[in-house]
Amino acid sequence: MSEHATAVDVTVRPSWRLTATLEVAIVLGLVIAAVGTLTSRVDVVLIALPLLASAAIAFDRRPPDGAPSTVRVHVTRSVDTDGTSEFAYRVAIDAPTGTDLVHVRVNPKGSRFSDLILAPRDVATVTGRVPVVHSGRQRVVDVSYRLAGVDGGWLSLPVPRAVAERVVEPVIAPIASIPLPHRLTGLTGTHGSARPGDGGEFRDLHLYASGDRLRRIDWKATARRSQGFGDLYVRRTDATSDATLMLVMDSREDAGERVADWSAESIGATSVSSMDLAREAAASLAVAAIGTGDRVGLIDLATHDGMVVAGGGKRHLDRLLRRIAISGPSGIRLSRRRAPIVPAGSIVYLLSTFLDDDAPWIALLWRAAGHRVIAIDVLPTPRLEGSEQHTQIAHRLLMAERRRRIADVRANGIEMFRWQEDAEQPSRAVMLRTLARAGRRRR
Amino acid sequence: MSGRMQGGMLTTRARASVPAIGRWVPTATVHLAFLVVAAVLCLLVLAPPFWRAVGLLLAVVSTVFPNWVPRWWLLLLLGLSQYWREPSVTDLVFYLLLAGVHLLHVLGGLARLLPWHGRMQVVAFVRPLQRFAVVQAVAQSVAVGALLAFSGGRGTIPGLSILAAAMLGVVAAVLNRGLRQAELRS
Repeated sequence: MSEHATAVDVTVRPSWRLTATLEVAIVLGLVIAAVGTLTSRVDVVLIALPLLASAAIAFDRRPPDGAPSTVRVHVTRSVDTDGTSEFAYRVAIDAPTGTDLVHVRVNPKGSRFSDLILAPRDVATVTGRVPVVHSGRQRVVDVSYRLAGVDGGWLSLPVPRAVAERVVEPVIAPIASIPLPHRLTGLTGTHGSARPGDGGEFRDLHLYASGDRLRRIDWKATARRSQGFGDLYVRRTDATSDATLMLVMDSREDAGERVADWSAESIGATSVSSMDLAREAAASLAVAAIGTGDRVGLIDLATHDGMVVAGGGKRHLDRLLRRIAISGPSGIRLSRRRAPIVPAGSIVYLLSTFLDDDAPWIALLWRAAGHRVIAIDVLPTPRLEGSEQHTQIAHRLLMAERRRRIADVRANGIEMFRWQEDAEQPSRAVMLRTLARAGRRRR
Repeated sequence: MSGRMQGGMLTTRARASVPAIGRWVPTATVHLAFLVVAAVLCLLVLAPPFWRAVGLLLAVVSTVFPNWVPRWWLLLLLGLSQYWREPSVTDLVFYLLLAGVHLLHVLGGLARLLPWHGRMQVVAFVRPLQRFAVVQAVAQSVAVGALLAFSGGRGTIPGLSILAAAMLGVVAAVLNRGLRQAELRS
């Protein structure tokens, strides 16, 4: 199965410069010819013939300045039936006349760059495949190139890089039970409320009171229960309400499985990262909640413009998923002095690695304001292979602090579970079901 | 191999494929070819032991550092080495030197551009080798004619050599025009 393709076109008008190869060929040819001439040696002069002829040809075939050269990077994503997914890319370079060689540097994601020398016949092309390992916005391949004229006598100035990026949607994990706020709000929805009202499940039989609707009078119950003339019984039902979920992503950092990569500029290409897990958790919760008619909003702690106001419906879900998919690590420190405002009565899902105190501090503020807060730990199970000893010691200290932080969070009434499934805790489905039951008291 | 993300877990360790460019050779081939041609020419035309050692040293340095000046000294040394040889129409080494110096110029020009760790399409050699073959076909024919005309190559009047130099210019211009037309046709 293949998805729609994307293409990046970059057209430049390369400037050409003379290289030392051509200059020295002329100088050498003239020197040898001069020596042969001065010494009356035709055979020596003849040695200069091919050098001068090559230089003359190279001069004559100088690539025209201002002639356009285009690099086109075409990326398609394919998903196999077994769930494997990969990008296929095709790089095509259209070189101007007079170009002898195209020196392309192709840098696919998760791999070392390759230097490739191509012939510019028709269009020089390179193809390759990149596995899809992470979700979110990612560079598939970047291409830079330079052009060389006859015998390397002319060389184009470096051409700006063409970078092909794609946004990979996170995996949506099925969620059967979703924890809800302790108090539901609103007058309509799919959840039963503790208040009497219209639309919900049977609540009780009650004596008719002023304001009750006549059509709610239960005549059979009245006949059975009536103690005196004029006693009427009405069937009361629970009101329905909806829940508001606020998904809070802590996208300040992205930590992979390999601890050795934590201080690197980019996550290892072959390991799942905390942002992968956060995107997956947020998208899965959003799909499950909006599927049951609830309202979902999104807050990105790292940015002030990343908030999506709570809402419901298909279009809102699309907006949420798009925002979740493009969220990426920002690497900035938290600059908030107050917790972001969330709707009254909403449940907050905080997705964080809990590697520092900032996100737990905000979670505690929400909890203190009376919100139910569920912290989802998205730090992948760390792998220490390849780490140096000082990195391992630092990791142990960091994890000790993190355990203390998580204990504080739990002690303050914030429920918590890990999104990544491992042997340390029951499965994610069981944890969600347990949390959903825990919150199912009379609302 | 491709990656699969399921429940946030990567189930297949994956790497990007090597970019495909069709038939290729390592770019190191060009550097090594330069070294081989240079070494053979040094052994053939330079007098042992001093000049041969100097030539071989220059060949090695030129191969390792293709952008450095020794490459040009090597070409100059090989080109001028003909002065100490007796000119003869039947001297095979002269014709080899004529081709070798030109080939070193072509390979050296490529080597300056190519990294050691890279891949080069086989078809990318076609144009440079085509030009080399055409230039050599003409140069070798002119060499035979000139050596015959100047009775073994040792002219008695400097004017003859000047005439030969002028001939080189004419040949270069003719070659140039012919090649350009051939490329336009293709």
